Amino acid sequence: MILSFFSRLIDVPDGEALEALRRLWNIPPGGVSAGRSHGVVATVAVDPRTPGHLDPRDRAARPDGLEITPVSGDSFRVADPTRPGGAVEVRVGAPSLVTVLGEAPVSLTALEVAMSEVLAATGLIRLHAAAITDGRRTLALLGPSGRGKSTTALRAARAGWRLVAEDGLFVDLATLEVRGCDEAIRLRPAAAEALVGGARAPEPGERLLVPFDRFGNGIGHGPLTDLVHLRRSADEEPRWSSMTDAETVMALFEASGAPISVTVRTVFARGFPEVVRQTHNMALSLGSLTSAFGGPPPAGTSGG
Amino acid sequence: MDGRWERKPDVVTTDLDDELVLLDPSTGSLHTMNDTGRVVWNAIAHPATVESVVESITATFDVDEATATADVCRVLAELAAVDLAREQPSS
Repeated sequence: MILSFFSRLIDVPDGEALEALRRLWNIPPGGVSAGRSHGVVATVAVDPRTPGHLDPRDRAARPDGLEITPVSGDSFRVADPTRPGGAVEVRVGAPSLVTVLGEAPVSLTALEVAMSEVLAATGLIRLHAAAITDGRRTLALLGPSGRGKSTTALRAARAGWRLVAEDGLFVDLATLEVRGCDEAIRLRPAAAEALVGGARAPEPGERLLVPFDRFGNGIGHGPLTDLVHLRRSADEEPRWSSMTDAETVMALFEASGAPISVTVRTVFARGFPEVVRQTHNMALSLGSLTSAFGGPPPAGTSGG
Repeated sequence: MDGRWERKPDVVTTDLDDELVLLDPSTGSLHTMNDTGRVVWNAIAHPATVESVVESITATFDVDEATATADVCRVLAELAAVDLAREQPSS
Protein backbone atom coordinates (compact mmCIF):
# COMPACT_ATOMS: atom_id res chain seq x y z
CA MET A 1 0.00 0.00 0.00
CA ILE A 2 1.12 3.50 -0.63
CA LEU A 3 1.48 4.28 3.07
CA SER A 4 4.13 1.59 3.42
CA PHE A 5 5.56 2.78 0.13
CA PHE A 6 6.07 6.23 1.56
CA SER A 7 7.19 4.92 4.93
CA ARG A 8 10.05 3.27 3.08
CA LEU A 9 10.88 6.60 1.51
CA ILE A 10 10.40 8.91 4.44
CA ASP A 11 11.84 8.39 7.89
CA VAL A 12 9.72 10.32 10.38
CA PRO A 13 10.15 10.72 14.13
CA ASP A 14 6.49 10.07 14.88
CA GLY A 15 3.31 9.29 13.02
CA GLU A 16 2.12 12.84 12.68
CA ALA A 17 4.10 13.89 9.63
CA LEU A 18 3.37 10.65 7.82
CA GLU A 19 -0.32 10.95 8.60
CA ALA A 20 -0.20 14.53 7.36
CA LEU A 21 1.34 13.36 4.12
CA ARG A 22 -1.33 10.70 3.77
CA ARG A 23 -4.01 13.34 4.14
CA LEU A 24 -2.10 15.74 1.95
CA TRP A 25 -2.01 13.45 -1.07
CA ASN A 26 -5.32 11.69 -0.38
CA ILE A 27 -3.39 8.45 -0.34
CA PRO A 28 -5.86 5.63 -0.87
CA PRO A 29 -5.68 2.76 1.61
CA GLY A 30 -4.45 -0.55 0.32
CA GLY A 31 -3.95 0.43 -3.28
CA VAL A 32 -0.32 0.90 -4.10
CA SER A 33 3.06 -0.75 -3.91
CA ALA A 34 6.36 0.63 -5.08
CA GLY A 35 7.43 -0.05 -8.63
CA ARG A 36 11.03 -0.20 -7.47
CA SER A 37 12.87 0.44 -4.28
CA HIS A 38 14.00 3.99 -3.75
CA GLY A 39 15.25 3.37 -0.22
CA VAL A 40 14.84 6.00 2.44
CA VAL A 41 15.16 9.31 0.64
CA ALA A 42 14.23 11.77 3.35
CA THR A 43 14.35 12.13 7.08
CA VAL A 44 11.79 14.46 8.63
CA ALA A 45 12.95 16.30 11.72
CA VAL A 46 10.70 18.52 13.78
CA ASP A 47 11.78 21.59 15.69
CA PRO A 48 10.39 21.17 19.24
CA ARG A 49 9.39 24.82 19.21
CA THR A 50 6.86 24.14 16.45
CA PRO A 51 3.46 23.80 18.09
CA GLY A 52 1.17 21.44 16.28
CA HIS A 53 3.86 20.89 13.66
CA LEU A 54 1.49 21.13 10.72
CA ASP A 55 -1.65 23.00 9.86
CA PRO A 56 -4.24 20.75 8.20
CA ARG A 57 -6.41 23.71 7.23
CA ASP A 58 -4.20 24.30 4.21
CA ARG A 59 -5.73 21.49 2.23
CA ALA A 60 -8.81 23.61 1.66
CA ALA A 61 -7.08 26.94 1.12
CA ARG A 62 -3.87 26.82 -0.83
CA PRO A 63 -1.98 30.09 -0.93
CA ASP A 64 -1.13 31.58 -4.29
CA GLY A 65 2.52 31.83 -3.45
CA LEU A 66 5.07 30.32 -1.14
CA GLU A 67 8.29 32.03 -0.18
CA ILE A 68 11.11 29.78 -1.36
CA THR A 69 14.56 30.92 -0.30
CA PRO A 70 17.64 29.17 -1.68
CA VAL A 71 20.28 28.35 0.90
CA SER A 72 22.62 26.56 -1.49
CA GLY A 73 22.27 24.59 -4.72
CA ASP A 74 20.48 21.70 -3.03
CA SER A 75 19.14 23.37 0.12
CA PHE A 76 16.23 25.77 0.43
CA ARG A 77 13.61 27.00 2.83
CA VAL A 78 9.85 27.10 2.16
CA ALA A 79 7.59 29.46 4.07
CA ASP A 80 3.90 30.11 3.70
CA PRO A 81 3.02 33.81 4.03
CA THR A 82 -0.34 32.87 5.49
CA ARG A 83 1.39 30.99 8.34
CA PRO A 84 4.10 33.40 9.46
CA GLY A 85 6.61 32.00 11.90
CA GLY A 86 6.72 28.47 10.53
CA ALA A 87 8.81 27.07 7.69
CA VAL A 88 10.23 23.91 6.20
CA GLU A 89 13.95 23.62 5.54
CA VAL A 90 15.02 21.11 2.93
CA ARG A 91 18.33 19.52 2.02
CA VAL A 92 18.12 17.43 -1.12
CA GLY A 93 20.73 14.71 -1.05
CA ALA A 94 21.24 11.11 -0.06
CA PRO A 95 19.38 10.91 2.20
CA SER A 96 17.50 14.18 2.14
CA LEU A 97 16.61 16.04 5.30
CA VAL A 98 13.32 17.87 5.76
CA THR A 99 13.13 19.97 8.91
CA VAL A 100 9.83 21.38 10.12
CA LEU A 101 10.80 24.41 12.13
CA GLY A 102 9.61 27.60 13.72
CA GLU A 103 7.32 28.71 16.48
CA ALA A 104 4.08 28.51 14.53
CA PRO A 105 2.24 25.75 12.68
CA VAL A 106 3.77 24.90 9.34
CA SER A 107 1.50 24.64 6.34
CA LEU A 108 0.95 21.35 4.59
CA THR A 109 1.49 23.15 1.32
CA ALA A 110 5.04 24.04 2.32
CA LEU A 111 5.66 20.44 3.38
CA GLU A 112 4.18 19.23 0.10
CA VAL A 113 6.66 21.32 -1.87
CA ALA A 114 9.51 20.01 0.27
CA MET A 115 8.53 16.35 -0.03
CA SER A 116 7.80 16.60 -3.74
CA GLU A 117 11.28 17.97 -4.28
CA VAL A 118 13.09 15.26 -2.34
CA LEU A 119 11.03 12.53 -4.02
CA ALA A 120 11.71 14.10 -7.42
CA ALA A 121 15.42 13.88 -6.69
CA THR A 122 14.98 10.07 -6.69
CA GLY A 123 13.12 10.14 -10.00
CA LEU A 124 9.65 9.97 -8.49
CA ILE A 125 7.87 12.96 -10.01
CA ARG A 126 4.59 14.36 -8.77
CA LEU A 127 2.40 15.69 -11.57
CA HIS A 128 -0.73 17.80 -11.40
CA ALA A 129 -2.70 15.47 -13.65
CA ALA A 130 -5.52 13.00 -13.87
CA ALA A 131 -4.91 9.49 -15.14
CA ILE A 132 -6.97 6.59 -16.48
CA THR A 133 -6.15 3.07 -17.60
CA ASP A 134 -7.84 0.25 -19.47
CA GLY A 135 -5.22 -2.27 -18.36
CA ARG A 136 -3.36 -1.96 -21.63
CA ARG A 137 -2.77 1.76 -21.84
CA THR A 138 -2.43 4.34 -19.08
CA LEU A 139 -3.12 7.96 -20.01
CA ALA A 140 -2.06 10.97 -17.99
CA LEU A 141 -4.32 13.98 -18.61
CA LEU A 142 -2.33 17.19 -18.24
CA GLY A 143 -3.47 20.78 -18.17
CA PRO A 144 -4.08 23.69 -15.81
CA SER A 145 -7.07 23.67 -13.47
CA GLY A 146 -10.34 24.13 -15.31
CA ARG A 147 -9.26 22.44 -18.53
CA GLY A 148 -11.50 19.43 -17.91
CA LYS A 149 -9.14 16.80 -16.45
CA SER A 150 -11.72 15.58 -13.94
CA THR A 151 -14.59 15.64 -16.40
CA THR A 152 -12.58 13.78 -19.00
CA ALA A 153 -11.50 11.17 -16.45
CA LEU A 154 -15.07 10.76 -15.31
CA ARG A 155 -16.39 10.25 -18.81
CA ALA A 156 -13.66 7.67 -19.42
CA ALA A 157 -14.64 5.89 -16.18
CA ARG A 158 -18.24 5.76 -17.30
CA ALA A 159 -17.00 4.17 -20.53
CA GLY A 160 -15.26 1.39 -18.57
CA TRP A 161 -11.79 2.83 -17.95
CA ARG A 162 -10.32 2.58 -14.45
CA LEU A 163 -9.47 5.79 -12.63
CA VAL A 164 -5.85 6.12 -11.53
CA ALA A 165 -5.79 9.73 -10.37
CA GLU A 166 -7.99 12.78 -10.51
CA ASP A 167 -5.72 15.66 -9.56
CA GLY A 168 -2.28 14.31 -8.64
CA LEU A 169 -0.08 11.35 -9.43
CA PHE A 170 3.47 10.12 -9.07
CA VAL A 171 5.36 8.79 -12.06
CA ASP A 172 8.58 6.85 -11.67
CA LEU A 173 10.93 8.09 -14.37
CA ALA A 174 12.81 4.77 -14.40
CA THR A 175 9.80 2.54 -15.01
CA LEU A 176 7.08 5.05 -16.00
CA GLU A 177 4.90 3.38 -13.36
CA VAL A 178 2.06 5.71 -12.39
CA ARG A 179 0.48 5.83 -8.92
CA GLY A 180 -2.45 8.06 -8.14
CA CYS A 181 -2.80 10.33 -5.13
CA ASP A 182 -6.59 10.47 -5.11
CA GLU A 183 -9.48 8.32 -3.98
CA ALA A 184 -12.29 10.55 -5.15
CA ILE A 185 -13.03 12.69 -8.16
CA ARG A 186 -13.91 16.36 -7.63
CA LEU A 187 -16.51 17.83 -9.91
CA ARG A 188 -17.70 21.34 -10.49
CA PRO A 189 -21.43 21.75 -9.89
CA ALA A 190 -22.33 21.90 -13.59
CA ALA A 191 -20.35 18.77 -14.42
CA ALA A 192 -21.68 16.96 -11.36
CA GLU A 193 -25.25 17.75 -12.30
CA ALA A 194 -24.73 16.57 -15.85
CA LEU A 195 -22.74 13.44 -15.11
CA VAL A 196 -23.69 12.11 -11.68
CA GLY A 197 -27.38 11.46 -11.29
CA GLY A 198 -28.91 12.09 -7.88
CA ALA A 199 -25.81 13.76 -6.51
CA ARG A 200 -26.04 16.14 -3.60
CA ALA A 201 -25.90 19.71 -4.85
CA PRO A 202 -22.60 21.22 -3.70
CA GLU A 203 -22.41 24.51 -1.89
CA PRO A 204 -21.48 27.51 -4.06
CA GLY A 205 -17.81 27.28 -4.95
CA GLU A 206 -17.58 23.75 -3.59
CA ARG A 207 -16.71 20.69 -5.63
CA LEU A 208 -18.59 17.47 -5.27
CA LEU A 209 -16.45 14.50 -4.21
CA VAL A 210 -17.39 11.26 -5.97
CA PRO A 211 -15.36 8.23 -4.74
CA PHE A 212 -13.61 6.18 -7.43
CA ASP A 213 -15.45 3.14 -6.05
CA ARG A 214 -18.69 4.68 -7.32
CA PHE A 215 -17.75 3.57 -10.82
CA GLY A 216 -17.18 -0.04 -9.89
CA ASN A 217 -13.90 -0.38 -11.78
CA GLY A 218 -11.53 -0.09 -8.81
CA ILE A 219 -8.40 2.03 -8.65
CA GLY A 220 -6.01 1.42 -11.49
CA HIS A 221 -2.29 1.77 -11.98
CA GLY A 222 0.19 0.86 -14.64
CA PRO A 223 3.06 2.11 -16.77
CA LEU A 224 2.43 5.42 -18.48
CA THR A 225 1.78 5.01 -22.21
CA ASP A 226 0.16 8.30 -23.28
CA LEU A 227 0.47 11.96 -22.33
CA VAL A 228 -2.63 13.95 -23.21
CA HIS A 229 -2.55 17.74 -22.94
CA LEU A 230 -6.04 19.17 -22.53
CA ARG A 231 -6.86 22.37 -24.37
CA ARG A 232 -9.90 24.51 -24.93
CA SER A 233 -11.23 25.41 -28.33
CA ALA A 234 -14.30 27.05 -29.76
CA ASP A 235 -15.18 23.84 -31.59
CA GLU A 236 -18.26 22.05 -30.42
CA GLU A 237 -16.77 18.60 -30.87
CA PRO A 238 -13.68 17.30 -29.06
CA ARG A 239 -10.71 16.99 -31.37
CA TRP A 240 -7.43 15.11 -31.09
CA SER A 241 -4.27 16.64 -32.53
CA SER A 242 -0.59 15.85 -32.48
CA MET A 243 1.87 17.48 -30.13
CA THR A 244 5.57 18.08 -30.68
CA ASP A 245 8.17 16.76 -28.26
CA ALA A 246 8.91 20.31 -27.13
CA GLU A 247 5.23 20.99 -26.45
CA THR A 248 5.03 17.77 -24.46
CA VAL A 249 8.09 18.63 -22.36
CA MET A 250 6.58 22.05 -21.69
CA ALA A 251 3.33 20.37 -20.58
CA LEU A 252 5.35 18.15 -18.23
CA PHE A 253 7.09 21.17 -16.74
CA GLU A 254 3.71 22.86 -16.24
CA ALA A 255 2.35 19.77 -14.50
CA SER A 256 5.39 19.18 -12.30
CA GLY A 257 6.12 22.76 -11.33
CA ALA A 258 9.51 24.38 -11.58
CA PRO A 259 12.29 22.39 -9.91
CA ILE A 260 13.96 24.14 -7.01
CA SER A 261 17.20 22.28 -6.37
CA VAL A 262 20.10 21.68 -8.71
CA THR A 263 19.63 17.93 -8.40
CA VAL A 264 15.99 18.01 -9.47
CA ARG A 265 16.73 20.37 -12.36
CA THR A 266 19.11 17.72 -13.65
CA VAL A 267 16.58 14.93 -13.07
CA PHE A 268 13.92 16.81 -15.06
CA ALA A 269 16.27 17.86 -17.86
CA ARG A 270 17.47 14.28 -18.38
CA GLY A 271 14.25 12.44 -17.55
CA PHE A 272 11.56 14.35 -19.43
CA PRO A 273 13.00 13.71 -22.92
CA GLU A 274 13.03 9.98 -22.13
CA VAL A 275 9.40 10.10 -21.03
CA VAL A 276 8.44 11.90 -24.21
CA ARG A 277 10.25 9.35 -26.38
CA GLN A 278 8.52 6.41 -24.68
CA THR A 279 4.95 7.72 -24.75
CA HIS A 280 2.35 8.71 -27.32
CA ASN A 281 1.77 12.43 -27.01
CA MET A 282 -1.48 14.05 -28.02
CA ALA A 283 -3.48 17.21 -27.44
CA LEU A 284 -7.21 16.97 -26.81
CA SER A 285 -9.24 20.09 -27.48
CA LEU A 286 -12.42 19.70 -25.52
CA GLY A 287 -14.62 22.48 -26.78
CA SER A 288 -17.39 23.17 -24.32
CA LEU A 289 -17.64 21.05 -21.19
CA THR A 290 -20.99 19.72 -22.31
CA SER A 291 -19.52 18.25 -25.49
CA ALA A 292 -19.37 14.49 -25.63
CA PHE A 293 -16.00 12.97 -24.74
CA GLY A 294 -14.76 11.42 -27.92
CA GLY A 295 -13.32 8.26 -26.39
CA PRO A 296 -9.69 7.31 -25.91
CA PRO A 297 -7.05 8.68 -28.27
CA PRO A 298 -6.34 6.87 -31.50
CA ALA A 299 -3.35 4.61 -30.91
CA GLY A 300 -0.17 5.33 -32.79
CA THR A 301 -1.27 8.57 -34.36
CA SER A 302 1.55 10.46 -32.72
CA GLY A 303 4.88 9.07 -31.73
CA GLY A 304 6.80 10.03 -28.68
CA MET B 1 27.32 44.23 -28.32
CA ASP B 2 30.96 44.63 -27.34
CA GLY B 3 30.93 42.75 -24.07
CA ARG B 4 30.68 39.10 -23.17
CA TRP B 5 27.37 37.30 -23.14
CA GLU B 6 26.37 34.82 -20.48
CA ARG B 7 23.34 32.74 -19.64
CA LYS B 8 21.14 33.44 -16.69
CA PRO B 9 22.19 30.96 -13.98
CA ASP B 10 19.93 28.05 -13.00
CA VAL B 11 17.96 27.89 -16.26
CA VAL B 12 16.93 24.26 -16.87
CA THR B 13 17.94 23.09 -20.33
CA THR B 14 16.11 20.08 -21.75
CA ASP B 15 17.74 18.80 -24.90
CA LEU B 16 15.43 17.16 -27.43
CA ASP B 17 16.67 15.89 -30.75
CA ASP B 18 15.76 18.97 -32.73
CA GLU B 19 14.95 21.59 -30.10
CA LEU B 20 15.94 22.89 -26.71
CA VAL B 21 13.34 23.62 -24.06
CA LEU B 22 14.46 26.23 -21.55
CA LEU B 23 12.74 26.66 -18.19
CA ASP B 24 13.50 29.65 -16.00
CA PRO B 25 12.66 28.37 -12.50
CA SER B 26 12.56 31.88 -11.08
CA THR B 27 9.64 32.88 -13.32
CA GLY B 28 8.28 29.53 -14.47
CA SER B 29 8.54 30.72 -18.06
CA LEU B 30 9.24 28.19 -20.81
CA HIS B 31 10.94 28.79 -24.14
CA THR B 32 11.98 26.66 -27.09
CA MET B 33 15.04 27.11 -29.29
CA ASN B 34 15.75 25.78 -32.76
CA ASP B 35 19.09 24.50 -34.03
CA THR B 36 20.58 27.98 -34.39
CA GLY B 37 19.41 28.94 -30.94
CA ARG B 38 20.88 25.73 -29.55
CA VAL B 39 24.36 26.61 -30.87
CA VAL B 40 24.09 30.14 -29.47
CA TRP B 41 22.87 28.84 -26.10
CA ASN B 42 25.70 26.33 -25.88
CA ALA B 43 28.23 28.94 -26.95
CA ILE B 44 27.34 31.18 -24.01
CA ALA B 45 27.57 28.41 -21.41
CA HIS B 46 30.57 30.44 -20.34
CA PRO B 47 30.88 34.18 -20.99
CA ALA B 48 31.54 34.66 -24.69
CA THR B 49 31.86 37.50 -27.15
CA VAL B 50 29.58 37.87 -30.14
CA GLU B 51 32.55 37.08 -32.35
CA SER B 52 33.15 33.74 -30.66
CA VAL B 53 29.46 32.87 -30.88
CA VAL B 54 29.51 33.72 -34.59
CA GLU B 55 32.50 31.40 -34.98
CA SER B 56 30.46 28.60 -33.43
CA ILE B 57 27.66 29.26 -35.91
CA THR B 58 29.88 29.36 -38.99
CA ALA B 59 31.63 26.19 -37.80
CA THR B 60 28.29 24.40 -37.50
CA PHE B 61 26.25 25.72 -40.42
CA ASP B 62 27.06 26.57 -44.01
CA VAL B 63 26.50 30.30 -43.61
CA ASP B 64 28.53 33.43 -44.30
CA GLU B 65 29.82 35.55 -41.44
CA ALA B 66 27.52 38.52 -42.09
CA THR B 67 24.41 36.36 -41.99
CA ALA B 68 25.69 34.51 -38.93
CA THR B 69 26.39 37.77 -37.13
CA ALA B 70 22.89 39.04 -37.84
CA ASP B 71 21.37 35.77 -36.61
CA VAL B 72 23.49 35.72 -33.46
CA CYS B 73 22.65 39.31 -32.59
CA ARG B 74 18.95 38.59 -33.10
CA VAL B 75 19.00 35.47 -30.92
CA LEU B 76 21.00 37.20 -28.17
CA ALA B 77 18.60 40.14 -28.20
CA GLU B 78 15.66 37.73 -27.91
CA LEU B 79 17.32 35.92 -25.01
CA ALA B 80 17.99 39.23 -23.30
CA ALA B 81 14.40 40.34 -23.84
CA VAL B 82 13.12 37.32 -21.88
CA ASP B 83 15.91 37.63 -19.30
CA LEU B 84 17.61 34.35 -20.19
CA ALA B 85 20.95 35.97 -21.06
CA ARG B 86 22.70 39.21 -20.46
CA GLU B 87 25.67 41.13 -21.77
CA GLN B 88 28.43 41.91 -19.35
CA PRO B 89 29.78 45.40 -19.93
CA SER B 90 33.16 45.43 -21.66
CA SER B 91 35.99 46.49 -19.36
